[in-house]
Amino acid sequence: MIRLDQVSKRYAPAVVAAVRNVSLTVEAGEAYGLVGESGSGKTTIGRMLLALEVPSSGRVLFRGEEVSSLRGGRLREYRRHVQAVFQDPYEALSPRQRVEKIVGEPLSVHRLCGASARARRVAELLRSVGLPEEAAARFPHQFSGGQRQRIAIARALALEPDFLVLDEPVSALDVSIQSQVINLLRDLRSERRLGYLFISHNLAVVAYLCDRIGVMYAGCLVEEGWREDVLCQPQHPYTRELLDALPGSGRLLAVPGPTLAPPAAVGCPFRHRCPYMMEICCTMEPRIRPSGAGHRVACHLYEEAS
Amino acid sequence: MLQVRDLQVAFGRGPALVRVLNGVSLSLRSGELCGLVGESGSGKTVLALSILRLLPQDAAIRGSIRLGGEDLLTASAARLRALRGAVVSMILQDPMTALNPLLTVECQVGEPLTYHCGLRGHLRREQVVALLEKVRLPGARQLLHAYPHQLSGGTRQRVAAAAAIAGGARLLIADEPTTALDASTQADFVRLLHRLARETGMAVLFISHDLHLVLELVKRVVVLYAGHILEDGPAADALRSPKHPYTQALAACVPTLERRGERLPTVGGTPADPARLLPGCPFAPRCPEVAPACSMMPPLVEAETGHSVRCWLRLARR
Repeated sequence: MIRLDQVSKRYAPAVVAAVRNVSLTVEAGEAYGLVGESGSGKTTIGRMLLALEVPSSGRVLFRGEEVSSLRGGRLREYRRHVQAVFQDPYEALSPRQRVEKIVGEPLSVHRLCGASARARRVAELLRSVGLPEEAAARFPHQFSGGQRQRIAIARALALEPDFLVLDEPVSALDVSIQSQVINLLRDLRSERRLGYLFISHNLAVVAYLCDRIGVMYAGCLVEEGWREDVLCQPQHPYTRELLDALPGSGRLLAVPGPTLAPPAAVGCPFRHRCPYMMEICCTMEPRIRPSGAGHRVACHLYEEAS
Repeated sequence: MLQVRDLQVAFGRGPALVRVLNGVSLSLRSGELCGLVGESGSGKTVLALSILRLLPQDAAIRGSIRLGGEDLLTASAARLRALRGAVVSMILQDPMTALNPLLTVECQVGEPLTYHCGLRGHLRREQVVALLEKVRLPGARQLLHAYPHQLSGGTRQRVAAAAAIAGGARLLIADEPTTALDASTQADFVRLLHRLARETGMAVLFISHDLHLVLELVKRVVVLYAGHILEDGPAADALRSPKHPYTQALAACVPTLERRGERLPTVGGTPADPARLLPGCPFAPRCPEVAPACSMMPPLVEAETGHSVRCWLRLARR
């Protein structure tokens, strides 16, 4: 349903590209998790998918149509299919609008229903995200962070999209509230057959929601595969580093920890942090290539093997 | 070295009075790594700020806070200035707001050296370089003239850590120091705290809402909820045999790789709002095991040696 074909994004000629030659596909109804540190380009990919940014090269396709070429009515139609939920529910909701207006606005913009039908629909949406109907009459500041994120999800669902871009939707929430929102996203997905692009820096959160996982480093997709393969048989040294960094294993202090050097400009961007660095990594950047069923990795360690 | 006894902190007055801490007692030995876990609104930051006496003027504080035998609540402003940075210091959540954007790294890390140790010029610079190396910042000398905006989040937090330990503090309060950081950077910062504590022998109070993260670092964990300590015990028990239903829920609801793909257990409801607390156990409205007795506040009782819990059910079972 969604296909990125050799997509790059460079914000200015002088600076390093935010996204470099990323190709990936997300099938209808599939949940794809994109993990990586801040600055790895995962948010930029989400924004290109939402037609908020235009790729510098390559194509972003939705059902075979190039997203950046959509204009006017076609773009509006596209937005009915693809909606977004962002990290900070304090900034994503207008403080001056009542919840009824916030959640109902997409319906008004798309002229989908009249005033009374809209009120009914808003109540229905609020119920589906676990909020009482009375919430409609209140303002965002009267809700906690978790409830605000539910409001943002209700708004994203208003147009009955097929696909949601979820950019760190639980990172700003308390752990006890995170689990509620993660469960809600799971339930909504199975009820509505939604596809997700779930962006997060936390592999464990992604593991709860996603069928496939892509790992980004320095603008590149460095590993991709089915959840079980990526988590149980990680290939790229960066993926292993991310797994070691997860709290809860009790091993955090046992692992020596990487030197957090910035990405290298020449050769493999990860090489300064990589415990397995070889000579070839200093001169040649590895390209992502298949290594196992549905698994791809960009690392010289796996090139001889394949 | 730190003894907090029956600390009560409230803001406002009359009907608008909000009690944020309701009789918190906590002690830390020197060199001890202690975790303080709580959700937003639990009072964990207010507790940290009370220890540093940085609460706003209108806060009503009762109880006692002693640091190395000295009463902080009666200490003069001049004495507090001498203590902050030299005996107790703090790392905050957001290194971007903790660091002054107009000062170079050398100035920020050097300030406590001048204030507490009288170091200047060349000597101070060398000491700053030594501190930056101590927090494992590569290329310490090149960093001296850098401004905070030129640094990554992880580097900024390390600079903040270098400034916090510059005065030789014996107690470091780290308030959600990794919440703004990525997974790898977060893990790395926790490793750094561990090493600093071991090398310098300072005590660390590590504050976070993430129980699993806290348990990676500390030996003892205190669970705070709506200004009450609900549980205080060995970190190893907090995951394996948590006693309070709230700790049990916190231990269960964090996503871990082992239980991937399953439905997550949740803590129902929303975190307690200190402005709207009912009498009785503060966790009762969200507690899966709530009983009639919970309409009265249970006492914090030592259930096992070195392990206290505030819950009627756990008392009855004893």
